[in-house]
Amino acid sequence: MRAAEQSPVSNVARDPKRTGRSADPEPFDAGAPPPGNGPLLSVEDLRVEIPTRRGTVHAVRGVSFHVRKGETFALVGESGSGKTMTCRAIVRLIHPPGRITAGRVLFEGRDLTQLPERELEHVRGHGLVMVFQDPMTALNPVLSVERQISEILLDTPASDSRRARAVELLRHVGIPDPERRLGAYPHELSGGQRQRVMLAIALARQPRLLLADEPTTALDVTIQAQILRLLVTLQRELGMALILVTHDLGVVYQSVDRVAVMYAGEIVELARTTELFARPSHPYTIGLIRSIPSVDRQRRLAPIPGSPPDLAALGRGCPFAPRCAWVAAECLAGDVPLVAVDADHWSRCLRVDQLASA
Amino acid sequence: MGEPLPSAPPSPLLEVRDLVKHFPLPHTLLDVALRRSPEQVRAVDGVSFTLGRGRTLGLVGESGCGKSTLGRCVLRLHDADRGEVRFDGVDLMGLTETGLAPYRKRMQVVFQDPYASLNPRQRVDRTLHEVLQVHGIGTPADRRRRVDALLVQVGLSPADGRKYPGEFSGGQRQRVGIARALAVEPELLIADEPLSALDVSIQAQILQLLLDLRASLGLTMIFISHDLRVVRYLSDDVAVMYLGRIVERAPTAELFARPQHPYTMALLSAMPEVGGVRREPTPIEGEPPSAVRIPGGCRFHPRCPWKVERCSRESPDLDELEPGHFVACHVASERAIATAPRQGLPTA
Repeated sequence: MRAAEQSPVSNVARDPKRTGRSADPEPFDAGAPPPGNGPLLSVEDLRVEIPTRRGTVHAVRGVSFHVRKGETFALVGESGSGKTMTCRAIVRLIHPPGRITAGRVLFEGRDLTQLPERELEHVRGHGLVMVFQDPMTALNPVLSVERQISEILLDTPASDSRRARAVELLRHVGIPDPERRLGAYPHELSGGQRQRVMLAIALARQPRLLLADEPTTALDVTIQAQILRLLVTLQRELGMALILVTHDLGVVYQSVDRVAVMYAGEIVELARTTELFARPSHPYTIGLIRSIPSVDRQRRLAPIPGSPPDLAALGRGCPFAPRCAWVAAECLAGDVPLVAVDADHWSRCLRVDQLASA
Repeated sequence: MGEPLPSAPPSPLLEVRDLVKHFPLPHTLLDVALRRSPEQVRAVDGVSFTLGRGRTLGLVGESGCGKSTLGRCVLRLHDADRGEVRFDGVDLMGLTETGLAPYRKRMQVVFQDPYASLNPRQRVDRTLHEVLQVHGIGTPADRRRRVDALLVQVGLSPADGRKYPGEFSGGQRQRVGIARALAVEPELLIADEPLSALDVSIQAQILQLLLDLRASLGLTMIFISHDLRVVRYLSDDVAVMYLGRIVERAPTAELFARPQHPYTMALLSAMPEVGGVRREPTPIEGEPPSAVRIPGGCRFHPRCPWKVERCSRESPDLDELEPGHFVACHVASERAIATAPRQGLPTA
């Protein structure tokens, strides 16, 4: 296959669900998807670059995917894979000098990369909301919980009803004794409770899309389970879509509908979760799954050799090639496109046919 | 609480008895006003276990449960307040620093963050060489050869010795940390969350390295981790800690197949597993209390779905409910007694 002929964009164009090009909010999902299940978010050929002293780091290199209304979607990958950067680029929260250099982010039909700052603020405040790994850095340390929630509720007129709404929100996210907790400051809360407060603040905005960047990574396992359960429950109750950024395949397996596996700034595989684990179709995904210590202790671990590439000095061809057991000459020839393996299952591997026999 | 004498190996390498380590908090004004001693963090609050030669004990629990403090007390990096740590029959707690020196060589530790435990301004071959020198091992030429061999043993090359810690990736640094620990040919290796700072694919590399080294060197290990998947994969026995105490201990397969303590069950159900039936996590309520104000009675009772009146009054002992399976829970003990006469009959 002559890989260079086929850019990721052309692949996106082949997907009927993603052909909408109009900036008009309403008739975005012109094609195939069933009614009420059209893409809420479409990311198209997104690129993020960060100039450094060592050269330009290509943190996100042509990422395309879509998320439907009410769907749970995961971006999974290791550190430096570009998953967090993709997430931040969606809400345009890239720290300078890093910047989005190409691509579109269509949320309800509007391209967020082109939106004036004021309108973007509005979208960030209402349509889509992001929660971060460490709520301590996202909460204001010198304001009480009540103040921080009330700031979001300014359209609720009287301060009494704002207070009542804040209590209700805190109760909703499982904060015990919410009336008393209103006066608390972030440092007085545990990590799990801070994350619950972050979710209360997020919910106050009634988002249609919640982006959660490693929301449970800093938490202990029992608290992690509580927060994940809360996220999934809220997502279902409110019918919002959820993008979960995580490195934990177990969390992906248990909690999301569809998943994109990222490596070296690209999506290398995209599929329904059950399909991804049943028929992983990229050597990196296969390696990740085999790296998990299994119940079966007789099965030897098969770690992926080597380490991820330097995103400031990428050579030609597949960036996974140096660590890949299936590598062939064609892999180093040029860029590898994302190709359809099956319905709604995509892989960025030229030798995907050979993988099945493994 | 007796140990299972018939099944235990003749002389365990390590025996820990009723180990206690409290850390006093700084004096507060209130302490001064009330003329009381400052409050204490009861990090390790009465822990006993034995570890046979060549075996691996997985020590699991959430942050603040005292698992790392326990590891450090065994190594005498902390001096415990009370209790015994017998290494090969000798109580380490009674030894002076000089008396301890030969034992330091026989037990080593790998930390979570190898970057913090390596000198950033020293080439790693110098660091390894120094370890050998301090312990008086070999001639300078021997030591240089040994350093090269160590680097190869952990999957690096002798040329990597000329690098500084900052020039390595996280996984390679952990390899250096392991080489440093293995330099003196220890019998006991305590690995304190050695994988936590690493990415999944690199974790598997380091885990496989530890497994290979354990097999080739016959190491006895204490593997401290919050990750039950890893612990299940490499431990012979698992001890679950909660607020400074072991609440359950059993052979690995037994613990995962038939957990008896409600906290262990909660940990297992919170573990997001790859494979099997997709299920919603069923988390227990609440969060662990602070180790300064440990609840009276059973320390788990405020979060326990099974609690009965007795649990808030009386702290349960770690009872051997089945051979080799120890559980500290009133309800589990009563159940075990209630079902004992029916043993051998088919159960529902």
